[in-house]
Amino acid sequence: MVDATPKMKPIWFFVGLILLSMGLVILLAGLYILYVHPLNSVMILFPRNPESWLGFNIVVKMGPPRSTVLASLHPDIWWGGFMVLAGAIFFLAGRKSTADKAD
Amino acid sequence: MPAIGLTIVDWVIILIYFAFVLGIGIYLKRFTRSEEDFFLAGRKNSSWVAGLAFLSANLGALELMGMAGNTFKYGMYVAHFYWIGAIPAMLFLGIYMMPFYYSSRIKSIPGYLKLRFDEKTRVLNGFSFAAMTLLVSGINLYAMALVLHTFLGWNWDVSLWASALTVAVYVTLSGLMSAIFTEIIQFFLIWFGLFLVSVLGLVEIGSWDEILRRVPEGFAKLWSNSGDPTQNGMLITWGGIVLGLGFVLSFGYWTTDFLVVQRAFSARNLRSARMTPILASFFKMAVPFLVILCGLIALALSRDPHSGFHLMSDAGKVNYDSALPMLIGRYLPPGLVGLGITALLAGFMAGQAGNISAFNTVWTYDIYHSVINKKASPQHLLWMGRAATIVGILLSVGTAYWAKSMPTIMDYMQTIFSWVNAPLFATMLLGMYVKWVTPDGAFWGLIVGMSSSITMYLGVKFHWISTRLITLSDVSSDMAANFWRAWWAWLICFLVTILISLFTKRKTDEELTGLVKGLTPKPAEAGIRWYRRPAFYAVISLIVLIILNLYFW
Repeated sequence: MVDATPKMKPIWFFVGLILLSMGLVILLAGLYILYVHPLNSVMILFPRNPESWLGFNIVVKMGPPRSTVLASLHPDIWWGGFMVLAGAIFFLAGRKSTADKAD
Repeated sequence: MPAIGLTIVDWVIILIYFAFVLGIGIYLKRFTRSEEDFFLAGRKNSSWVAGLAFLSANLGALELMGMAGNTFKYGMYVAHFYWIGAIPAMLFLGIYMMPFYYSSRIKSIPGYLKLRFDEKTRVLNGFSFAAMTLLVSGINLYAMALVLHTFLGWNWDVSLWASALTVAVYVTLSGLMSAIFTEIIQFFLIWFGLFLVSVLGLVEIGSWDEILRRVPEGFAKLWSNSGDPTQNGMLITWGGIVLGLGFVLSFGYWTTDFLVVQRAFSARNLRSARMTPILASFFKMAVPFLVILCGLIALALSRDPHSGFHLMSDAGKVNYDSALPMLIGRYLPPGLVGLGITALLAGFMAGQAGNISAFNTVWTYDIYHSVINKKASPQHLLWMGRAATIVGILLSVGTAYWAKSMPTIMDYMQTIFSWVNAPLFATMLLGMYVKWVTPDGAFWGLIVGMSSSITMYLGVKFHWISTRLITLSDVSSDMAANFWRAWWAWLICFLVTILISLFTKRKTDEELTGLVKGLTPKPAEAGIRWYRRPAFYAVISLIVLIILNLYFW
């Protein structure tokens, strides 16, 4: 007889997924900045506007790239890579498991 | 200060986080079918899951930013909050108190007070805890909106409502379960998002020794200058640290505050519940390497005129809480700065969710079910829990607007804990270990203890009494006064409870079975090998604590 009760994925699966996806974005952005072009800053603001049905407007402002101390060490690349690695381990460990077993 | 300029990558990272927590809330809803699922996450978590959630419930962004700022203000002494001010209490909870809590199958701390004492003590604690939780939750929301407004340039109202609605959605959907899931995700995001700041700070300054060389001498020690309060940044003696922080405030918070203890109740069995705070103690001891280190790095940089680093100022007053966000802006490049901001956001939202999930449980069981509707069915209680979540969030938003109108409100947080938790710890300790302590003794002890703490606070604030009477010292800081006030409130509650118990009616041994030492069977550990027993890990934790204190003496 098939058990119809859904099996919950363990929390480690979700931890892996979020670290993997964020790490991948950070790593790829770091490589893009290093080899292609610095990224401009994008301010998203919500100034008050009583006439808008939301009560505010949504304004997007572009700015110059932001410089940081120790940027020459490219922490985004190695830290992003580290997150991908850690995320992959958690993700794979939790992928085939259920909360009852894995925890 | 101009807002930190984020790139499109940073916005994507923030968006991923919001999508994730909402998605988890929706995913977990299908597993939330009963009231026990909603309020206690089904009591099926392992000690690792419960342990990380136990720690994360306390590791909010308010704590991270506040403690980094306090390190800038007081120096290494802030590490006492993480070591002597936490670890002994967490181990005591795991080894000695958890068997009483877990074995009695209670759903909340006020629930224990009902079984051990009576209904009036339960309701008193239920109301004071609910009020404290909503206040802390509102302050948390206020602080989050302030950070988004200051560092991202967001409109204050939009920041506040966006985060409050997100938390409302996922806690309403699946209660404690989703709160625990997001707390664990927050734990990882905080470490991945903020530990890099410490690493890069160390790289820039050169070494740990160089950081200590750059900060004032009194700020670089943990105990060796605690004999004379004028010689350390916190203006406190070792007596205040040990009695006020290490004993009363710490034990009061870690062993009786339902916000953290609720996570241990979600464990699948007694061994896992006992292991919950013990495992959390190892991670707690590591937090200073993130928070204290950042505070010291900020202090060292600010004393170097060539670094270009300085904290924000509000109307000429230094904003110490800006230390951590300013370091994030200094070191983290595109993508990572989004992760750093997300770590703070996750801390705020998980803190908010923790407070709300504790509030909805205490409201539903200890106020609504206990006072208003005693015949409510389990399904009705589940509905009430969801309704209480939404109402709790709305009340928190109201508190946040109130906090906004009172700029110094955040200074009162530690004070609020000393009002509620410090006397409660005396009640709990006596309740668990002395069987002749009576319901009337506990109730009036708690009333007098809380009243004395509030009176001492008001007395000093309005100059009715000298701070010297409370701190036993000519010099003291606000923090020192908090520690000492907590100690006196605890002592007053302890003595009044004993005194009244001598003259009032006791409960019988049959009524106290399973609730008091001597009338409760010891946890069965016959089949568990010595290296898997909670006591073994507690001893290791204690040894690490001693080594850390000696190393940084």
